[in-house]
Amino acid sequence: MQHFTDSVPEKNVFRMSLKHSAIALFTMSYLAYGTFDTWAADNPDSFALSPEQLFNATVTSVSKTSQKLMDAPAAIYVLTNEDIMRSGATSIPEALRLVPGVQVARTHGGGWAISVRGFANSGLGNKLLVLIDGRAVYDQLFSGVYWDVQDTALEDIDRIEVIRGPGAALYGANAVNGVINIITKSAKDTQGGMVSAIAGNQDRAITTGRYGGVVGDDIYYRAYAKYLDRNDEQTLASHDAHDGQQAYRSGFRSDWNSNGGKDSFTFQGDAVSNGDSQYRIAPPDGLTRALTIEDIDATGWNVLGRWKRELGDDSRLTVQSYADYTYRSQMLLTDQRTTYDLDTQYELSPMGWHKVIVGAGCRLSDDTLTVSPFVTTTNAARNDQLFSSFIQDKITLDPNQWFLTLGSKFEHNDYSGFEVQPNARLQWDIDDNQMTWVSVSRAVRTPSQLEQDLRITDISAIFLGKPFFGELPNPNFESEELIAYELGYRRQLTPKLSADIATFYNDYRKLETVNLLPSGPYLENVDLTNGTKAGSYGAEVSLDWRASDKLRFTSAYGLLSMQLHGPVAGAINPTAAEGQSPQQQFNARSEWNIRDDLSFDTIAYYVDSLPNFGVKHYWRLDMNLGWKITSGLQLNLVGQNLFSAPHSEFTSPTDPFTPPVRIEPSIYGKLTWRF
Amino acid sequence: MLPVTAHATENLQLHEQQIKAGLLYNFLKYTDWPQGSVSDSSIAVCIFGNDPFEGYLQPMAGRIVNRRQITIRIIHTIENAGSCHLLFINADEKSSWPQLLESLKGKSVLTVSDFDGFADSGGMIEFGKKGDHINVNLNMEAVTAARLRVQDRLLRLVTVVHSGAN
Repeated sequence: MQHFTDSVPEKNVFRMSLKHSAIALFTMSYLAYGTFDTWAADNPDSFALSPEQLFNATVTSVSKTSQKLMDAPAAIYVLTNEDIMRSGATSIPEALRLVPGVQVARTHGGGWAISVRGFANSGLGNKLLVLIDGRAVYDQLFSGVYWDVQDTALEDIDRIEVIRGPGAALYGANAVNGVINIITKSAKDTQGGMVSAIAGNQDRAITTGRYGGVVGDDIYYRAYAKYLDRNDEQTLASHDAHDGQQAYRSGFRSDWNSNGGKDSFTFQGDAVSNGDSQYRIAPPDGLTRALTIEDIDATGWNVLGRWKRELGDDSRLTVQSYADYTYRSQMLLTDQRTTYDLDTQYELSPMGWHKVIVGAGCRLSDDTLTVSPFVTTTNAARNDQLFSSFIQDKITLDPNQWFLTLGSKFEHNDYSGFEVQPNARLQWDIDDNQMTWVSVSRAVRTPSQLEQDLRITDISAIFLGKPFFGELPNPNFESEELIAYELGYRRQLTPKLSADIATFYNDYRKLETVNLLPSGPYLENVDLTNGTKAGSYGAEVSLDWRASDKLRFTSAYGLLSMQLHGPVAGAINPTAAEGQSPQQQFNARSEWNIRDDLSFDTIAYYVDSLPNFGVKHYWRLDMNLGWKITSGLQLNLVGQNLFSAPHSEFTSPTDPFTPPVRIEPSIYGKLTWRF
Repeated sequence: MLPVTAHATENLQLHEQQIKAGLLYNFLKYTDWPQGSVSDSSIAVCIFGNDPFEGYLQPMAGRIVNRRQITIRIIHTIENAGSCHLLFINADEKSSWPQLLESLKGKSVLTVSDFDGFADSGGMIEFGKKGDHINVNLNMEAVTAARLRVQDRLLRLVTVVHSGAN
C-alpha cells in the first residue's frame, strides 16, 4: 500500500464517481431477440435448400447482400466476423471502436466504458442495452454493463449488430440510446478444430480452443475454452497501474433441426471466472484514505435454450429461456444474482401487407448483496419480477416504396411500475439505390438498486469541505425518460460505394441528479433525484468503398452535442455529462489483400477530448499484418495504439476515487490453426 | 437464421448468386470423386478470379458435406487450380479457360462457370438463365473423363449436353 502520488483536489465537485467508485460492480440481464434481426430472418439458408427448390426459385432483381442493411429503417451498423478479426481487436469492446456513434473508452487494463450517443456516466453506460445471443447482460444493481466479463471466442462471433437510438419498443427498458446484439455463429458454421494463441506486451497471453462436430446427420455442436491474461497499464507517474486481468472461460453451443426443418433448436451455455484489479482510493480501516489495489472477482454461468417453429405463410413461433448467474465481489460490496428469463415471440404476415410480431415474457431475478460498513442497503435480498409484452406491425403502405412500422413495449417492473415505450417509423425506398427513414420513439431507463436501495458512505475525499459524505437511498427515484426523433438516409452511390447518414435529436426528462440534503458540519448528505433535463443532437456518417476485390476503405464520423439543464439550486454539477462524451469521433480503415495469402489492414482513430474528465483528445493507429502460411495456419502481427504516447481515455485525473491509467501501445503476434 | 426447407417450394425468391451458391453446394453433395483424389476430412472449392458471389458463397466455408469440411479459396494462378475439387471460373476470366482446361487434364476437378459456351468448350457445369430461373448444362463426357460421377438426383434436373469433350 502506498499513498497516492497524484494530487487529489480537495474541493472538486464530482458527480460521476459515485457508482464507479464507491462501488462499480456486477451483471444481470435484459431480454429481446426477435428484433431488427428479423430483416435477416427473411433470407433463407441457400445451403439448406434442395436442388429442386433452387431450380424452381425465382431470381429477384434485388442487388447485393447489403440490401438487407439498406432495408432497415434504423441507424444500424453491423460488424461482421471478418471486420472483427481484421481489426485486430482482442476483446468485444475494442472491436466496437469501429462503429459510428459508439463511444469506447478503456478505463483500465480489463475495463471499458461504452456508450452510444453519450452518457457513459461513471463507466457504466446506463442507457445502452447489450445482449449476447438474446441474453441480456445489463446489470440492474447499478444500471450498466460490466464489459470486463463480456467475452467469448471472438473467432466464433458471427456478427455484432449495433442499433443507435432507442430500441425499447422491441427490447424494453434501458434500450434508451442504443442496443448492441452480439450474435455467435451457429454450431453448424463452426465445425472442426481451431486453436489460436496470442502473445504480446499488453495482451500477454490469450489462448482459445474450439472444436465443432456433428452427431448423427444434423445435430451440430461446438465447445470452446479460453484463457486470457492482460498486462497492467500505467499510472500518470508511469508506474504499473496494477489493473491487469486474468480470465478463464468455456462454453458450448448445439444447433439442430427436426420435423423436416420446421423446428430448429439451439442450446448453449458459458461459464467464466474473471479476476481484474484497479487502484482505488479507499478507506481500508474506515478512517484514513489510502491508495489500495482493489481486486475485482467475478464469476458466472448461463444456459440458454431456444426453439423456433416455422408455421408456414411466413409465420413462425420462437420460445426462448435462459438462466444466468453472476457473482461480483469488489472492495465494498459483493453481489450475487440469478436471473431466469422466459420469452415467446410470434411473427405472422396477415393479409400480405402487414408483418406483425407479438411477444410476451417474464423475468425473475434473485439478488443477494453482501454489504460493508460503507455500503449498506435497505433491501439485501431482492426478488424482482419483470413482465413484458410487445406488438409491432410493419405495414406496407405502397409496395416497394412506403412502409410504416408501429409498435410498443408494455412492461411492469418492481422499481418504477408500468412502462409504455412506443415507436413509429416511416421508411421510404426512394429507388433501388436509396432509402430514407424517420422515427419517433419513447424509451426509459428504469431505476436501479443504486438509486432506490443503497446507502453509500465515503470518506475518501473531502466533499464540499466536509470529511464525510453520504448518499442516501431514494425510493421515489423514477425512470429517466427519452423522446427521440431520428432521420436517416442511405445510398448505394455506385455498386462499390455506399453511404449511411443518421441524425437525431434526443429530448431527455427526469435524468439522474445528485441532490443536496440537510447535512451536519462534518457530513454532507445527498440523494439521487430526477432533477435534470437534457437535449442532445448529433449525426453519424459512414462510408464503405470496395475499391477493388483487394482493397476496401471504410470511414465513420460521429458528432454529438449535449446540453443538460439541471435545477437552479440544490444539485451538484448536474451538467457534468456534457463533458464526459467526446463531441467528435472519426475513424478510417483500409483492408488490403496484398496477395491471396497476405493481408494488411490499418485503422486510424480520432477521439475528442472529455473536458469534464480532463482527458485530452487523442489519435490512435492500429495495424494488422496477416499471413496465411498454409490453408490451416494463419499468422497475424498486430500493433495497436501505435506512434502515440500512453494516454488516458476516460477516468478523470480529478476523480478522487479511481486514479486514472494511461493506455499503452500494444504489440502482439497471433497464430491460428484450423483443422 | 432459420433455414426455409421442404414446405417452401412454392414461391421462393432468391438472388441469382444465392441460387448458384446453393447449387454449388448441391453439386458437392451429389458428386462422387474417385478414391484417393479427395481427403477424408476436407474438400476444396476454388474460385478462379474475383469472387462474383456477392457474399453468398462464403458462408459455405466450414460447412460439412458428406462428412468433409468445405474450404473456399480464391485463386488467381493456373498452377493452383489442380488441388481444387470444385473450380468455379469467374466469367471475367473466360480468356484463361483454354489454358486452365489444358492444365486440368487427367485431374478430377469439377469445373463450373456461367459464361456462354462453357460446357461446349470442355467445361462440365454451365449455369445459365432461362426466364426467371437458373438452369444448368452439364457436359457428360467432360465429367466422365475426369473420373467424376454426378448422381441421378441432379442429372434429372439438368440439361445434359454432348460436345467438345476432351
